[in-house]
Amino acid sequence: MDLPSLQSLLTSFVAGLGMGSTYALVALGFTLVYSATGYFHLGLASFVTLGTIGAYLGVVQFEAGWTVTVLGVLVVGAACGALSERIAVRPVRRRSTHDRTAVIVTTMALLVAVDSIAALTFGPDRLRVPPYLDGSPFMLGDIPVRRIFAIMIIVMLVVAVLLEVVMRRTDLGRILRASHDDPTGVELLGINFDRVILVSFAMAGAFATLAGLMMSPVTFASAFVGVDLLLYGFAAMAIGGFGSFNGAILGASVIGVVVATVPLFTTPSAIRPFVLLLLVGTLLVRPAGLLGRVSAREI
Amino acid sequence: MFWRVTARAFMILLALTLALSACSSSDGADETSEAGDTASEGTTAVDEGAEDAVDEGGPTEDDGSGDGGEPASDEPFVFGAVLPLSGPFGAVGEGSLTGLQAQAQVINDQGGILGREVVIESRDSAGDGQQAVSAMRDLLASGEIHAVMSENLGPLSAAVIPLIQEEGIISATTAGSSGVGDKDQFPTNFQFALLPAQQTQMMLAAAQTVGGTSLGIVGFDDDTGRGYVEEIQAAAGDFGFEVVGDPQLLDAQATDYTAQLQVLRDAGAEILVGNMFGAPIGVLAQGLLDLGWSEVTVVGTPGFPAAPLDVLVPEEAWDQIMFATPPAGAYDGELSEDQQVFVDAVEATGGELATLLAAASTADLLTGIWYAYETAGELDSAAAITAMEGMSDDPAAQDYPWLFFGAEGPMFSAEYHYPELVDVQSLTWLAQAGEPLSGAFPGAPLD
Repeated sequence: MDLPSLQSLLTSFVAGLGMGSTYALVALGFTLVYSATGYFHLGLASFVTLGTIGAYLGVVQFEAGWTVTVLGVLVVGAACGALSERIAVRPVRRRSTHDRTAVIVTTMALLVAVDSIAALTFGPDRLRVPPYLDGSPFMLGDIPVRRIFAIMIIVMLVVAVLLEVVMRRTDLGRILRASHDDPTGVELLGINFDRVILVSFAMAGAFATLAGLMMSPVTFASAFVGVDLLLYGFAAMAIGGFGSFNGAILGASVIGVVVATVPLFTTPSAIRPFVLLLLVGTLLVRPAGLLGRVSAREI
Repeated sequence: MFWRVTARAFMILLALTLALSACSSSDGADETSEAGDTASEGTTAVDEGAEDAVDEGGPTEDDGSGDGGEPASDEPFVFGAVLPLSGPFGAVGEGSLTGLQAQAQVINDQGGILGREVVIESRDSAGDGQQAVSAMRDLLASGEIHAVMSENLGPLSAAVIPLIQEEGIISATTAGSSGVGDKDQFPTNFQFALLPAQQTQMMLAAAQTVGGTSLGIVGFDDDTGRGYVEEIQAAAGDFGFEVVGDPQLLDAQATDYTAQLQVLRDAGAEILVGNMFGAPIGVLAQGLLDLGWSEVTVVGTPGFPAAPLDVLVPEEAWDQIMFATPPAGAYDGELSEDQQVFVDAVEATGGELATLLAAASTADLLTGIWYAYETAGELDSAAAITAMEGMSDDPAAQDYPWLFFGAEGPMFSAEYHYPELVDVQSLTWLAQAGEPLSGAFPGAPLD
């Protein structure tokens, strides 16, 4: 096998960062819910699916344009996010000492149900969604950079910064973080914890559908796109550090580069084993992830 | 209280939804649609009211192939099919079912098979091996079945054929994998698909006409993809090509191939060839645009036009995405008469044509069953198998409306239950992504 040229390697690196931005958008959604509630909401992957399908319906089917489509789908995404909390989380929350495990199962069931319904109504095809930014790629030296990837990276960074600011500098963020650490204590302060959870799920729902919208010209609209991204999004969160927005971006970028570069050296079938190896290796060395914080608790 | 009740209701609904979605395939398999209408049993019959929409296209009365007009018997000819009607390969299965329904219409308009109206009894495999086996068992247990389509995905086809063999029923598949047409292994099965070696020859012959001698190879990272890579590497020299760079195996689920395309660009490829299907063709085309690689031409196998290329490929790249295809997948100015007959039948049965070629291959499969039973002259599977094996020596086979295989049909013989004897060079058209006409793409026959 010939070794790839420097040009090929740099092209794969740029493509990896672009793909990593799609994984990062999913990982940020996971991180938001986890930061606020301590739950892993696997059902968020189904909102990515809804986002891509919403993009196709809005832009291609109804020709509503991107602005209207984004606004409409975000509202639907937030509503579905809140609804998912009512359906898959609240009925099992605090019903046992293992409610966090139960939530993983119920949100996974939600993912399967939503994706199945999407497949039955939308069909199994992967349908092309036109890009929201036309034009040929711009050159970074000799390396072509797809405009849509540049936009996705920018949006991802803006969202991450906003989330970081909201979580660290606002009352809402403080309540969300406190709710994660000590929900009973928060309720004793007179804060409605149920509402906190509802808000975080609604935000995460809107956020995941935004991810679907943003990535739809790259991934195509499909009833199966969410499941495909579930592994990489979740791995990105784990590698970066549970609860860390910066970590989610870092983890996603690392995975993106691995996904783009591995096929240059070996078969693409090796991508997933490499990602899992990376995940296990990272957690063995740093159990809290690259940027996760280890919390000590005095007993 | 309200929320608790509501939540419980949603939980119940969720559970029901899960159960329904889990069962949807097998339930859907039991569905019966009557020529486009969805009903609740399992049979797709032909809309007799739509007969006028279909012109004469088949063999004549002199061929002993039917009376023309209304079927003479009250008993139907039941053709069973297990197909991936849902799941990731659902579009493939739906296209196949559309082809079967339309061709059943064509056959019934000419008197049916041995005077019996053809009805299609379908089951859904969801593209899953275990479900395919269950669906086939259910199909075979559902009543008298006269012939069966044994899936159109290679591994699944190989899994279900033994069940059909136990019943001694003639079966056929459009799966392209080598092996399912192996008479020694599957003596009752016939393969209505061009083999990888044949598709490779068609593709390389088509690639000769676009100019350039440096060949880059792309393909999926699976056994089939690697098989095609080996076929191309072995045959490229015969067509005057030099293979440059390492073949690039692609992940069918990936959303970006630019890095691997750059490797082939660095190697100096002028033409990219490979067997691909579905959305990855769009990803490949987008990769060419992203790299600004406008000098290269992609020439694919007949697997290409099985996908809606006009939807998947950005319009700016249409001129770069070309493929070899049998005549059924392309049009030169207008549809041929056979294509138009078939398209009319699709419309008459309420079907939708995503692509013409995918439906045409299953249409030929049913035509083959029609030929076999009419030639046998009796409703006996063993006799039909013998008749099918005599196809290559029977001039009357050319009177049937073969759509995918051209005038001579698949030319099966006692030795070959796959279309080994077909002259693929004469079958080859060069077509490209572009504005489709009833699911066919613009193209022209090779000189």
